[in-house]
Amino acid sequence: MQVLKPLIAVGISVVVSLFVVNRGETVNQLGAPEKVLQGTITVSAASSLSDSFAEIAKVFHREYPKVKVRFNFGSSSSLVAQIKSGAPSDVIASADLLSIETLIKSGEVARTSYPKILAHNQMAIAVKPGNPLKIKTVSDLKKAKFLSLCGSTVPCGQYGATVLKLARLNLDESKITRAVDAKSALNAVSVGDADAAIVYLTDVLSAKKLVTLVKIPKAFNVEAVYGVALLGKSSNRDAAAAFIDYLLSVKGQRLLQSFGFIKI
Amino acid sequence: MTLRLDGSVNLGTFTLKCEITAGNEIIAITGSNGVGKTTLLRVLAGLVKLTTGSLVIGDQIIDDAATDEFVQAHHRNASMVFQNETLLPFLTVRDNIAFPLRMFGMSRSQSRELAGDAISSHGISNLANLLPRELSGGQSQRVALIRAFIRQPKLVLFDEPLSALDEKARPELRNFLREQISAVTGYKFLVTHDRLDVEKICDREIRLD
Amino acid sequence: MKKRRPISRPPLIIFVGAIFGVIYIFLPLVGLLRKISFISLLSQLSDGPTLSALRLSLVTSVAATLLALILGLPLAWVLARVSFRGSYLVRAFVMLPMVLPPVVGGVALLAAYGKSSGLVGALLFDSFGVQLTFSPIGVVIAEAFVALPFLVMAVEGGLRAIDSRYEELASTMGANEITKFYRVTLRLLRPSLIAGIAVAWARALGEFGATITFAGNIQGRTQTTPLAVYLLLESDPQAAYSLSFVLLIVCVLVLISMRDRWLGSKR
Repeated sequence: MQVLKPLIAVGISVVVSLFVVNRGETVNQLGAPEKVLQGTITVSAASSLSDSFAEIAKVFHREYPKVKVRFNFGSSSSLVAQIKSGAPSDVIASADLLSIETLIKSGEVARTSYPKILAHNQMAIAVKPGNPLKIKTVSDLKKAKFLSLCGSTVPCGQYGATVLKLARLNLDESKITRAVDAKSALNAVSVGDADAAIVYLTDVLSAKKLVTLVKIPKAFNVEAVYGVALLGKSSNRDAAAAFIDYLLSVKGQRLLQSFGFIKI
Repeated sequence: MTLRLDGSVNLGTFTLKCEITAGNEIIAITGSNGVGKTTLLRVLAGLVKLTTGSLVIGDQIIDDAATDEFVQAHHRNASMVFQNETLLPFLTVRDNIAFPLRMFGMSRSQSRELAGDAISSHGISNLANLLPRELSGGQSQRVALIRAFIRQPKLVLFDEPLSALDEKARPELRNFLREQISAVTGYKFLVTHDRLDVEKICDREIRLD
Repeated sequence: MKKRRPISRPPLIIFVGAIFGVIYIFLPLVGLLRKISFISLLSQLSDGPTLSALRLSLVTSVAATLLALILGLPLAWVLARVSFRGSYLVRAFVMLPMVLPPVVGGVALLAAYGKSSGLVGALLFDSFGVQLTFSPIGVVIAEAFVALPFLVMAVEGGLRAIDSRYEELASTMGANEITKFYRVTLRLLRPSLIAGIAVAWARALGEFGATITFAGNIQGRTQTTPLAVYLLLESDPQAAYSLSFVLLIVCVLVLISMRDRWLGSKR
């Protein structure tokens, strides 16, 4: 499913662009922006952003019909690894700031203007629909036979570990299954047999039909800070910068918030 | 006692229909290619069921299409030899000859000993531990014949056992075959194209057409 | 039936193509080899989680191959020897895991053997308290699922190639059905059986997607070597390369050891 979503997003944006091109021309006649942005940009984004970014891409497309946005979703750390090994990408949006710091150190991102803070997120617990194990808070997670977490090196895995630490809950490693990214950690509960997962609040909200949300009290929660940056090797800097600006604009922020992200 | 076969086999597009009565004599089965000589042997061996009719030996029903009575191949005590590749390719000469004895319930060591005796009495001890692919055509047919007679068979069903051999090897093996087959008290059928086989070995000829 | 080598040489373009084929496969392996630091290889491999992943992989892949053999041998036999209406459909279904994305295979396995929503899995759990997911047995199930078609394909091909005359001869010599199968059919089948076991095992050893989806990724319990490699790539790439290298060596050794039977070297 996770693989499908960006595909659908691209598909939709292609359809939308076909639809919008004509309208764009009429807009141009009425006086369009002086410089017409065009081409394709590739946005490498944390998998927890896949739903919201797909939506944002649609709206962005309406504004810049000649720019095609392609997404590459994955765990932030795998995105960093891909970019370092030369994967063509124009924008990175990660679930932490550290990932972008790493790219600054390796010279992929200019220190002067980035990272920009994109949004805040929280961690939440996802359980089976109806909450059969009656998990009310973090300490109840010991009731879970199998807990799904992200890999210990990816941001959501580190946030999850922090939550457990703050709640002074020491779970046996034999009860923890490690998923490759936030979306698949959630899938282990929605599709698989894991009893609970600690993932981003936004992910739980977008899977409301498949899992039940259990909020994590503020005392045990962490604030995940999402960052965004323009990559130095971008071949379409103007369009990429426009996309970043759009993300940070009132419209973009409002869209992100509609998916459960917290205002900067 | 007599063997009576009266019936037909239908194999898709091909039908063999025949009526045969046999006693203790050696019967040559002749006829042109594709007439069903091999199929006849396969019916007698129990590798194909009759579509109609019956096969009776003495007063025992071996195969009856009407009542569905059928004695399976491994209970018929038949010995088959083909033109070539009659030996199991993964067993040595000795083990090939021991195979029917083993199946008969003899122990491994006893069957191997008996096979070894047969090998040396036929003067081919040098071949005992070779695999079939290491033998010449004449050698493998000889071994196949030794195996065919190692336990007293009730049915001897040979399908052109000499026809793949060259002119030099054939007469000697024909003599050998005649000696061995005459000593058998069961029902003996030899499919052949060679008039010499019919004249020198067989007592009666059945021509299929 | 000895095969003779053709006297005429194949055209040059065939050679060129073959050379590129070899390079295509070899280059990534050479690249991997360059990344390995052989000095620290041993210390990386004797690390607790790495060692347990290797051990788990070994045990589960062997068990999965056995399972594939137990299920695949009769299946191949039926496909090769019994003619029935719709046999081609059965074959198509059996081959499906070969083309199915492994992750989808894992989801399909969940739908069948999962504890909460699986057709059989829910029953197993409710009546016997048996949970296959997140267990080493779950790993075996996932691995066998993707390995089975490889075994069936090899064995079915082998069965079709057997000259049925040998089996008939065995019957006339007094072998009953079971003896015949055991002493003749299986013996004639040996080369294809070994080839089938080898590819099925190699496939099971490298399985990733179905395993992580169905059995999860629990250290020491369901974390096989490929899963460990994936996670290590981010935290400790060196260890990941070393681990991949071990998988590679094991596989190459096994394949070379059966070169006579499978890789078609001359006698």
